[in-house]
Amino acid sequence: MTWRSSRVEVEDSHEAIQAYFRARRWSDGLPIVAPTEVRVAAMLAGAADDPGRVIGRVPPTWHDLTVEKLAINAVMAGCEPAYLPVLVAAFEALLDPAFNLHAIQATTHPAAPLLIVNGPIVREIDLNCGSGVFGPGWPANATIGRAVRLVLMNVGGAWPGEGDMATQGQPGKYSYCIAEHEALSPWEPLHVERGFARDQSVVTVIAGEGPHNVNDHVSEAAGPLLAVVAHTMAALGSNAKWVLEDSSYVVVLGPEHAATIARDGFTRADVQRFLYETARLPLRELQLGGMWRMHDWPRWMRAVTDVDARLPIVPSPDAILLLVAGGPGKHSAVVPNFSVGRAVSRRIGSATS
Amino acid sequence: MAAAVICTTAFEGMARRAAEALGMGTLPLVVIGHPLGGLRAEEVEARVREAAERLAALVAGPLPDRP
Repeated sequence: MTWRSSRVEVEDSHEAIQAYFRARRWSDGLPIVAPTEVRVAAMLAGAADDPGRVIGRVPPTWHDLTVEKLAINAVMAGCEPAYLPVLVAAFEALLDPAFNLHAIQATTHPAAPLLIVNGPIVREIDLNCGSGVFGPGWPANATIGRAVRLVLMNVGGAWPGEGDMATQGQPGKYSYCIAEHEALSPWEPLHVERGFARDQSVVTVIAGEGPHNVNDHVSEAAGPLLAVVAHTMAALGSNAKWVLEDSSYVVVLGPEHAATIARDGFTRADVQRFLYETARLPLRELQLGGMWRMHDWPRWMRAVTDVDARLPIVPSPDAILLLVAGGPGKHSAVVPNFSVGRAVSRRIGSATS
Repeated sequence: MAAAVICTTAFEGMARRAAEALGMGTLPLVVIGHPLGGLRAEEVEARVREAAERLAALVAGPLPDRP
C-alpha cells in the first residue's frame, strides 16, 4: 500500500506512544490506540473506498481529510473496521456547506456534532439505541463519536482555546453518537422522514447542545406529556430561536413516552405540529436577555409588539427532528441546535470512490 | 481596497491562524479589547473609537503594531 501519511518511529511501549502523541496534541486527552500500518490497513479494508480520496477540507485549518487520514483517526479512537463507512458518510455530511462546520468548530457555543444512525447498520455494528443511548458502554457509539472528535482536532485543528473557542464546551465533544430504536418507534424512522428508504443505512449530523432531560412520570396522554417536552424546549438560554431560519431541535422520545403519545393517535406530523405550536416563548421573556437585539428573525416576528405574544423557536414543524431511542423509563431528551447551520443526512456505504 | 478583520484580543490567535491557513498570513487585523458583548454604552463607544483609529491608520498607510 502506498501511504500518503508520513511514517514515524516510536519506542514500542504504551508509555512512549502515549507521550509521543500527547506531545504533538494528536489526542483528545484520553489514551489512543497506536495507528500502526497494519491496523490502518485493516481499518481501510472496512470500506470499499480509495484511501487517497479527499472527502473534504476540515476547518479551521482547512487540511484535506483523506479516507486514509480518517482511518488513522478511527484506529486511534478504537474503532472496528466495520465502523469506517459510518465515519465516511458522517464526514461527507459534516463537510457539506449546509452544516457550517467552520462556525461550529470555532464558536464559543458548546455545540458538538451529534451523529444519529438509522437503518440496518445499527444492528450490524451493534450501535446502542436502547438504555443509556447517550451514555457509555457500547464500543460502536463510543468510538465512532470519538473518531469524529479526533478528526476535528487532529485534522481540523480544533484545539480548545485555539481552533475551538467554546467557552465551556460539553461532554458530547468527546463522543456524541446515537442510533434510533426503530423497532420501538410507533412512527417511520428519522431517515425515512428525511427521504431515504427504510432499508438504507443513513447517518444524520446536527450541531447540538448536550441533551436536556425531559422527566415525566405522570402524564397519561399525549397532550400533557408533549407540554412537558415543549416546556423543556423553550429555554431562554439556548441558541435555537435567536437565528430562527436555521433553528432546530432533535427530540429523542424514550420508547415509553412515544407509546403514550402514539396511543392517542398522534402521528409524527401531529407531534411536530404540537411542539411547533406550543414550544414558544412570550416576547416579554425573550426581551430579558439571551441574544435579544442580536437576534435574526423574519420580518413578521420583528414586527410583533405585543409582549404577551408567544413566538416560535423553530421556523416550521419539520425543523423538529423526531426520533425514538432509549430503554425502559419515563425520560426523553431534547437537543437544541447551534442555530447557524442545518442537519445533514448521508447514506452510509454510498461513497464515490 | 483596504480590508481588515476586527476582532477582540481573545480571538486574535484564532484569527491569525485562520488567515494563515487560507494563505492570507498578512491580512491586517484590527484588534480591540475583549470582551465586546455585555458592555455598557460608554464602553462600547470606547471600543468603537479604538477600532476606528486603527481602521483609519490602515486606510492611511501600513498598519502599525497593535497597541
